[in-house]
Amino acid sequence: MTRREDMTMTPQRRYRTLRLLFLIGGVIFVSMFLVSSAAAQLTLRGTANPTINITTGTAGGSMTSVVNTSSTIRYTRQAAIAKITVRATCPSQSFHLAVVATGVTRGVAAPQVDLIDGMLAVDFITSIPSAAGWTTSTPTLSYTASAAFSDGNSVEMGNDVYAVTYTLQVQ
Amino acid sequence: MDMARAPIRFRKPTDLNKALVFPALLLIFACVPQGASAQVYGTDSHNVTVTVATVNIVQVSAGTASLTLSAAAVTAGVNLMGPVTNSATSLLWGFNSSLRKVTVKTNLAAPKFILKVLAVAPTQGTASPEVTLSTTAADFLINTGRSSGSCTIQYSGSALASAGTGTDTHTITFTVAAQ
Repeated sequence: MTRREDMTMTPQRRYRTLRLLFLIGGVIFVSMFLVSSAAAQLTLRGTANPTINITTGTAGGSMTSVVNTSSTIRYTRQAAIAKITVRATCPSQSFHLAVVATGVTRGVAAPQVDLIDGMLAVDFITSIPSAAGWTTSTPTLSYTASAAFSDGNSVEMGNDVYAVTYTLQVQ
Repeated sequence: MDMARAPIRFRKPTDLNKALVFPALLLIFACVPQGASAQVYGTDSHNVTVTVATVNIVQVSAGTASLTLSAAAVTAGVNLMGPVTNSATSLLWGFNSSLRKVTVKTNLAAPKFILKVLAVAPTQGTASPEVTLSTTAADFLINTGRSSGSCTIQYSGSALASAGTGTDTHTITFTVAAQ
């Protein structure tokens, strides 16, 4: 067999090549499926983008904090013990926002987390069990907004808009 | 020859094999980082907006303050009686707007006696000089900035002996105003 003949595409080789292409395509499809399904492992529900209004204060004291519990976080059991972290960005942050998970039945809620612009991810819910017996859990996100009189107001300072990101990952 | 059992041979890559190199590398680069961070099962985010209304408030700690000019406040041969002072009340405030001040006035248009007021030991800002109360608002506390604080309200009452006896009842109003 000459080298020229070796380069030609025989039906057998064409078959094997097509089989390889199908295999690669299958791997790509499964990978994309896994990536897309990973996004569904953690979802935020309830009010999509909550707004918290601080409207009152106490003379000689401080502004009255406001709690918002209109959002929930739904997560799915994983094969390994997992945790959820939270991080936030808020350019030109003037006021204060903290979050804590309430009603946590799968895992352990971390103490209230102060959300600060550019913060690193901080543990939010830890020790999410991998053992069978549950599929999903949906605790409440309890946001607390606060401000001091010295922080000013939104007319002069603008609103604080926090982009808050939650990540479900192996612990 | 049974192709399925043919020994593996290394052949010169065909154009088709070359064409597979790029998708294969793409797949590796696409999947390996996912695998490397495979500990991440999912992520989601939303925006939370915090708004703070304009809040500028003042509050007097107690309802009433009484001053009595008695014989003890009289000096023989001097027409002016007193003064006597009362520091039983205090003013509390909270301003989250810049450039605010507190003014003070009375509702009593024609008082028989003299009543003055002074902010004592403000925790923020600057006390204005002692003000003789009238129905026209006068500065009581200035330069507070955005703050929360308090001060003692010191009333000072005096009277001319020639004014005789009687009682003045004032309703004192403290107001937040732009400075």
